[in-house]
Amino acid sequence: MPVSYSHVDRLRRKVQLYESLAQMEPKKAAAHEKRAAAFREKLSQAEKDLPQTGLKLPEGVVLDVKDLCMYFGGVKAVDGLSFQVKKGEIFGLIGPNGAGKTTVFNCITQFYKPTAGTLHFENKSGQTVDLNKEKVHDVILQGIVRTFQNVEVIRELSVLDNLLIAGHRQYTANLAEQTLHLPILRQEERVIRARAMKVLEFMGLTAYKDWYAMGLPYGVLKKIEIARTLMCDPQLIILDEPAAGLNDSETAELAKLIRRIQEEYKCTILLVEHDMGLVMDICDTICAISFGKLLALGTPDEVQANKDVQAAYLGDSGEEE
Amino acid sequence: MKKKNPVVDFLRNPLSQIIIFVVIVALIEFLSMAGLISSSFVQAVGNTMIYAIIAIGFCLLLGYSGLASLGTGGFIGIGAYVAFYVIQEFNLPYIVALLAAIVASIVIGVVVGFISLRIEGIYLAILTLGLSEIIRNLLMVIKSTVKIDVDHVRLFGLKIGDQGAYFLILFTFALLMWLLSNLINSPTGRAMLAMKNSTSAAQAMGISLMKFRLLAFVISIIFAGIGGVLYMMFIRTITTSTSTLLTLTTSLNILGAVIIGGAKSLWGTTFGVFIIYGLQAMFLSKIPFFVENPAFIILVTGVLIIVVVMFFPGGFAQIASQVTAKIKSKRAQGGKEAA
Amino acid sequence: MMLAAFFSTLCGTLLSVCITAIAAFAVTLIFKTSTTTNFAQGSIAALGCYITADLFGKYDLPVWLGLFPGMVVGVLVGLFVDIVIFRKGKNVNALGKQIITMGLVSLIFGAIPLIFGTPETIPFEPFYNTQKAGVAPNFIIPAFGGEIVITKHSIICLIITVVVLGALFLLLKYSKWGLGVRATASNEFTAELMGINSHVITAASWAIAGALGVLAAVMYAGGGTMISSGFMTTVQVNAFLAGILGGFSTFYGPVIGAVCIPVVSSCIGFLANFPGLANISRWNMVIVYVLMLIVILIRPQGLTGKPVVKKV
Repeated sequence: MPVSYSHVDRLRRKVQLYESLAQMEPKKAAAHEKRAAAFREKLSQAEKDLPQTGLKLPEGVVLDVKDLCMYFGGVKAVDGLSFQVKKGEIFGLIGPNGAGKTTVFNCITQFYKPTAGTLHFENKSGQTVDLNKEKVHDVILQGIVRTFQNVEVIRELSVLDNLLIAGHRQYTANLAEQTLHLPILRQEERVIRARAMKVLEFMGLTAYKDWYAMGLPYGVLKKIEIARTLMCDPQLIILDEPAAGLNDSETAELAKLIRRIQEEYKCTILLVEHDMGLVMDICDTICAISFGKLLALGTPDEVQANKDVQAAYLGDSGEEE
Repeated sequence: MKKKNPVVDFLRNPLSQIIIFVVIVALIEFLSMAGLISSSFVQAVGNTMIYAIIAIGFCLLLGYSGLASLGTGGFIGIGAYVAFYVIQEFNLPYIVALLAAIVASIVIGVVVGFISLRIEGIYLAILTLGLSEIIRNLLMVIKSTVKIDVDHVRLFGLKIGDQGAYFLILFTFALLMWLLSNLINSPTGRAMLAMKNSTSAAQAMGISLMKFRLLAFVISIIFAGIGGVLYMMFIRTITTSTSTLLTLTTSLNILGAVIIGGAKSLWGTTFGVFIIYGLQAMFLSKIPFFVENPAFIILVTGVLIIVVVMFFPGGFAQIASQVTAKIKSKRAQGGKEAA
Repeated sequence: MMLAAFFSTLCGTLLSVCITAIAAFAVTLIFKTSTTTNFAQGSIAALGCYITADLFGKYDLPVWLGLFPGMVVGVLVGLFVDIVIFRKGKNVNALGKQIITMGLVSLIFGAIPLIFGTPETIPFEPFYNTQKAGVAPNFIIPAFGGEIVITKHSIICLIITVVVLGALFLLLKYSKWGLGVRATASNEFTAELMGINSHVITAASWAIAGALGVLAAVMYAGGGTMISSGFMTTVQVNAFLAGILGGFSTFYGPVIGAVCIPVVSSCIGFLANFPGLANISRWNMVIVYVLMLIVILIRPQGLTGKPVVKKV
């Protein structure tokens, strides 16, 4: 019987929950371990039952964007763009203002449904999926998580709670279990809180954990956004202008942080950035676009040397180095 | 190092807060049985609690999900009419009426929830007002006056009368308060707050707007529906043409109670309901000046609402937290001086 | 016969078209400049109308002397809300403003009986007193093999409405105030940076809306409706709905919506003349609101608005 991907994800969460509980409560470790094993078995069975998508990406590629088009009325924001992102790399998307960079991100995360083109992605189960078939709030289950250009932190919640929001899909307790505050919910709360604390420590935000996001400095808010992405065991992190509004030393710190994330969490990072220094410094591959079309694709040096890029980007706008 | 104060811990626990409340409110009825409190006072308390049930449901919608509705009046009407038909016409027990009202509320909630996916903000509020007008006109055409005989009001086969209805309201309030405070302190509550603050961030974090908007509307309309059923159990009659229960007035009063109480605080909201509905019926109507000029009460309520919103956007909950913060800092200073 | 009856029905809605249109314009003006729905629109209007009715009933004043004090009160209350309440409040947001206008409803509902005593019907014809002049209250035009009946009051109201709204639309389009309103409506902050004093613009809008409300209320009361503190509530609800139906993004949209609602309602009422549909008038409002709901669901931006793409 074919099963849905969210069912598989749910089982994976259960396994994680009981594994973490086994570590956190040594006294009851055996019982938790037993439950974890049961769910592990179910999970492996369910993964086998996942419907075959019939899609296959070339070895080492995690995201394949092909002939992507996004039109708003007569405006061609993205027009026939193709590129591939390799597993584990830091991929930079650059272009002058209005080139359609954020639109590409919005298409990948399904905030916009592309006018045409395919978006194939290899998810956590090693299965290749067609992102266009996913709902915007289900993209996160596949392992894609993003930040926003104009920092979208939940201001009415504490920093810790903001991270718990990011862990929302990791809760398996249903509505009745939540309204009655049954033990399963309390267990999950403990495990996910502990995970959030780990992420906060990694990001150096522990001191802020109980602060309300409202009124925190901009740099901290940006970090909270990145911390949120780490809560979801991401396969692909999409950063929309992570350095915008940061000063030089903060940008240098950010570059280090992005590298650390790549190493620690073994994930792929896709970013849009205006700060050329940062992009050239950390990216393995760069894709330059202008008016929704591809200008150049390659290593930082290749892209920098490209005549079209210089003309469209560096030469004309004059605002970048 | 923070010292643990068992009294403060007890007061902080939602369950014990509810227990304290129940004990006090139950005491009022017992004192009335002993003849120490007038029955009109008891009636006012019961009535206020019905509105409090409706208002805390509205909290979830407004304070947590950021969705505004002006349809509360109509939604109460659904519950009340369902109760009338089930209890009076079909002569079935209370539980059946309650279940029927919940089912009807879920249907309405799903409809409004789907509307909220297409239309947002103030437009949605006005649209729910339109929906409520549809419901009110519809109910008025079906039957302009509904009245339940006291003999029909039964629970588990027992006739419960006025006192029984009072305790039933109290029990329902306590139960719903507990369930709701659990819910807002769970992932669902956080997801709703996320949705209120930023729909895009919520969606990116895997929160389905459809699911939680529907849920928020369904729950808040169920609360309004239950309020309607309890109203029919306790007051037992509505004349649609003259009563303001199903009109915009009720919707605005509930909205006002939630705002002046503090939209994110359930107890604050309960206090807000007390200000808008209770104060007048319980206390002001006893003062000779207000008895002679009943309109003055409405005027004072209006002024109070305006002043609270002008200077305390967080409502009474904000005032309370500011006061406690001040007391704490004073104490801390006192402690330092002593050391 | 049928056709004549139909036109008579349509003419019968003339007055409510005028009233709803004026109220809808007032609501839109405030919605655009203060980003809030003014729930007190109806009760401010009722307050002004009480004063006018009192002056007419007690002192038998000429029309303009009776009408203007009422409108002045409307203006003053409007100014009071904007200048004293909204500006003095600590960071009052859109929702807070709504609640304040709601508190104002309560305040006025309480104040009216205190000032004017228990409500009583004060029948008056504000613009042209047919009784005093000794002429028939209606025009009767023979047509389509029947008679079309129009009240003189509604004709006068139509003329006033067209003149007043026409003047306001011209002001919006060509005057400095109009430019200011449109700039403030599109972005208050930028408008201020561009040197527009949005405080003055907003206050003026409240004043105008207050006066318009009273005008509509006097028209309504002049048509034979009993005055009470809440007698404008239905008009106000319809004005809100007209705003949504027509689309708040333009100024003429809500006015179009305001024309649609009474006309559609009277058309449904007219169906009762057909056999088998006699009961339909009972369901009139239900049908009107349901139709409206369907239209709004199909076009959330309203009849005149353009769809907006949400930016992430």
